[in-house]
Amino acid sequence: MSNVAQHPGLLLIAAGVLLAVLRGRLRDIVLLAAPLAALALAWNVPDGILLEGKLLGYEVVPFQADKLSRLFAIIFAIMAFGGALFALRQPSRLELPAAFLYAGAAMGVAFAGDLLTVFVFWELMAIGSTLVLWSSGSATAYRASVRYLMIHLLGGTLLLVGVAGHAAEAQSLRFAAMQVDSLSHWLIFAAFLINAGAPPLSAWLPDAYPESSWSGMVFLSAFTTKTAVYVLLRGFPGTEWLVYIGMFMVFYGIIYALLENDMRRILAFSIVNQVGFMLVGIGIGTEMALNGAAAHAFTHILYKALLLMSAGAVLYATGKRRCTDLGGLFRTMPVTTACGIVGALAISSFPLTSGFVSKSMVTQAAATGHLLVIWLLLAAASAGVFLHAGIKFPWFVFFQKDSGLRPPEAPLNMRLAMLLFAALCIGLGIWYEPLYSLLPYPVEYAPYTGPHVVSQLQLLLFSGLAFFVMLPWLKRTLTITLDFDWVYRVAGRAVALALGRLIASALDGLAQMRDRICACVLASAKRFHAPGQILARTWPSGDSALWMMVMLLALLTSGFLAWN
Amino acid sequence: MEERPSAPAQSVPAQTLSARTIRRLWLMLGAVLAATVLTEIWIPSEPHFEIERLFAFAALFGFLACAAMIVAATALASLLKRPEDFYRERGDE
Repeated sequence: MSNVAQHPGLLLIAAGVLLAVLRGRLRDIVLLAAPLAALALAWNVPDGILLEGKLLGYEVVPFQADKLSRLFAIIFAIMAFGGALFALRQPSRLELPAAFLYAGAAMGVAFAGDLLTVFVFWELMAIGSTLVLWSSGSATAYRASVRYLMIHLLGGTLLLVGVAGHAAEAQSLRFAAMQVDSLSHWLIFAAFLINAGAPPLSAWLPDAYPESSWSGMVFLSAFTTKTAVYVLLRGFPGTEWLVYIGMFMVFYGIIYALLENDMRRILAFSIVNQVGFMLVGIGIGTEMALNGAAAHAFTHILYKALLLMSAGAVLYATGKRRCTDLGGLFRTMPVTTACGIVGALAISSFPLTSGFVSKSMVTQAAATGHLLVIWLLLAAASAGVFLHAGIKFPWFVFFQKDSGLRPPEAPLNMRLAMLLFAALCIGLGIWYEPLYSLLPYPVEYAPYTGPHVVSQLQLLLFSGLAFFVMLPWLKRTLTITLDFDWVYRVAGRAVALALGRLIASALDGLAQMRDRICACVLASAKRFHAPGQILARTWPSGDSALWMMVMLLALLTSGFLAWN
Repeated sequence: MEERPSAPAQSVPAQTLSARTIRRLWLMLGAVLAATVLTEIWIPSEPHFEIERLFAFAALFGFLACAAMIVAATALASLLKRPEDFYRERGDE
């Protein structure tokens, strides 16, 4: 049992509980030290089973490690530290404890050796992330969090039913690679995809995340979708469906982000887009592609957090989220602008940034597999990422027309968090060997070849040209774009209300019928039993004697007739 | 919907760039673009597919793909764009 103390996820959850009661300097120390301790534990956790037991006749392995789980645990710990440093001034007493529960639960999934443990931590993640949303405190955030929770509880239910079915079929709960060959496996697959932000339910992500606080979305961007990538990597590598689903997500993210006016919703759509790249890699399923998907999840967490920190710093300083209200902030927020640009370059896979060394593995896997159409679509999508996140986000927030806003630069702790993540984005782009050595399979790939760098620069810079040439087409308006959530927010609501009215009128009809029947019974009772009516009158006793005599006579007569 | 800022952002009259600066920025962009295309003469591409043998394929493909995506987005917007308070007016928000 001593291994329990080595579990970095449980350490973070315990620190979250502690944070709920601590104040002042002590709180700050725990806030920053706990993720670092979790990082050290995750780094040093040995391979193999560390905790096992029996539950209802099944073998359960709540704590098990290998290269893949360690990779995700390490990045989750780094993320928790960066997020905590950024959120140091967060006044909400709920957000950081919830975020630590959330991060710890994500690590719990990464170290789960059986599906039941996956389910338990899966649900804890849903609770933690919902609490992060709640802590934002606004009414819109609350409503968005309820929609978010409904989708995730649906996903959790699908997962539980799938796991139960799998346990019955396979007589084992161990979490190993599966095929989508039975109903229970399809249910598990669907549950994983819901958390990945896959269609048709992807709208939960851009609906809910941007409603969180300025620091909340930094945490939210990292754990749910990337844990889904992790479980798909372990559970369904090489599943062809993932190529098509991922490709849809890639383009859905780009198109919706191009139409969006809210700076953080642009980045939310961009999460779906990036997870799409990872799913395509998992679907291709070769060692190179799986390495690429895992590496991309790692680098994505860093640059997406960095982008959301810069957006969070802008929200913190200006209180504004819409591109139409922002612009020209580079004048007074130079560090935030520079860090936002580094994040934007990294997400676009510019050479010398982390995105370049990770995403190109997925593209290379498509090329090696002679998958021309997929390769072309991935190249188009890479250009599209630069379009919607690489240029659009920094352009509309920090440059474009001057909004006249002159907000102060972000506070020191936020700047430090941004600078740390910017350094990691560039550092991993140059010294990528440490990242490659953490990947699940041996890497035989050199990202920096002359032709690769030149073609990537051409692809990206000419998509930049397309952006500026077609800028009038991209002018932001005060609009939203309808998504699948219309189905449950408008159509579903209308159906529910209509059904409610139908039930109400049916109940009304039943009540009227009841009243009529009661009135009928009462009236007939009155007719016979009311004072003076036929059954309520007094009769002389002579009448009774006469009637009894008549009946006796009838009896005797019938008896006599029967006898003869 | 909006967060309370730590300090209200100071607002001043908006500044604009002069036409000359904008022209200079365009020239700079043009020079960088030309440089990335011309580099291909010295560092020829290592194609995985036939189509990549085309000179400056990545540049052309990047531009056209982005233009196509912007057009597609605009077309989709004509169907799916709604005012910001669309959901609020429907009692959901």
